[in-house]
Amino acid sequence: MVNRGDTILVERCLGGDIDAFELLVGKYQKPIFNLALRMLNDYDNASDIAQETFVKAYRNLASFDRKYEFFSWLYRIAVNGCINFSKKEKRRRELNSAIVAENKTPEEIHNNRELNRLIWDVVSELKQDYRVLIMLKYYGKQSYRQIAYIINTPEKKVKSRLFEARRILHRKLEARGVLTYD
Amino acid sequence: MIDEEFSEIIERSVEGSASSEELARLEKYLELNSEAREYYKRLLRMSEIMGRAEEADPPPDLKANIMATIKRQRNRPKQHAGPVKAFLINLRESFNRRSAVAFSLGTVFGIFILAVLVGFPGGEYAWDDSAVSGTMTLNMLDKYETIDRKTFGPGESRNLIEVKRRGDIIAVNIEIQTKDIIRLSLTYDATDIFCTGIINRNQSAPEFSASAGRIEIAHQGNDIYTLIFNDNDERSTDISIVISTDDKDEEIRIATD
Repeated sequence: MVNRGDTILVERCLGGDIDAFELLVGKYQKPIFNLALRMLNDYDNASDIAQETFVKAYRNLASFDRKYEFFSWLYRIAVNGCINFSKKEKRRRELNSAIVAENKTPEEIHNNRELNRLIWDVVSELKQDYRVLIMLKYYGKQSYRQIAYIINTPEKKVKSRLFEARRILHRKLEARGVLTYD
Repeated sequence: MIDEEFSEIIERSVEGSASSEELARLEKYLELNSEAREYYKRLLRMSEIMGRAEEADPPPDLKANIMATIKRQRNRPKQHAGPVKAFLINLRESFNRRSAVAFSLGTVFGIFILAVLVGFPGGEYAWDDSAVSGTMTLNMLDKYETIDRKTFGPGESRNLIEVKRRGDIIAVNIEIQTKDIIRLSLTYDATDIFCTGIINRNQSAPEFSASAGRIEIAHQGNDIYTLIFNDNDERSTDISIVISTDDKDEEIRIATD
């Protein structure tokens, strides 16, 4: 189902109301920035890509296909931007230089900040192809159909790749002691 | 082995979007299938854990920077320019450091393709091999893969559209021979590919207009056009070309990968 609120804002933008676009930026800057951050593992580059995504979206608003969510379209532009950027960037700075030590106590592991860092460390270890799927599924809350559109890949392939991405992520989370079963 | 239908119900159940009827069916299925039970448990746990990871805050000035860039571009005084100049302005606005490199590469390759296709200026070269030793190879075209090739217009026509590709550079060659005015309208997904240059060999003074995702050419006479595109993700969609004459429109779709 297409988000009517976003569609109305897009219509207002096309009518020349720039404040409407500001509302869309405010609404989606965080998820777009986070997607870029997790794909590129670099704060400054992620900020550049997020900015470029919105500017590009504004410029090409007339070509936005209304049968998709505005948010999915934004994701598509951001993912393309990140892939393009990664292809050209030889050197990648790590988001967190220190890899989490293995000998944490259970109390430390369950400390929220530590858990947060552990999860993002593990996500950042995934291949970029898998990372984008995990981000879109768990944080973007996108359906398979939407992901297929965003990364321009058949839905069936999205399903099988996401299955594999989850399997690897699960194994890594288990190895770090993040996933435990009572 | 987990049945595909139940695999999807498991996912919907974890996301909280399964219907009560689906949940009842799933419960029975899980009782009978230990592998599915394990998968369900894993997904549920992982979803819970991933839900606890907090997203990072973007830079506080991100929104302000975005809006400032957009307003700057909007407020730039409009220039009353002809179609070719408008196209160039549009190109310049689309440029950043990365696309500038792509544009330069695209233009160089485009000129080279055109030169190889139609011959270098100055006529035929005579090759005197009496004083040459060693090997010289000039075979750029082999590095471009022909993706699609279509003719259009009347049966005997030599009108041709050809798409070649190398990496993320796409060259669309359009060869037209016509006495009447013919209009070409190219539409493409501007988030997938962007046009970095247009070259027409005979410089037959066509009318151009270009905007994001659309290029219009009004043409009369004989010419060969080469349109260079840069592909953002190497998985680009088709380009649609509508060829309009006074009495009919003909649409051709050409693949770009």
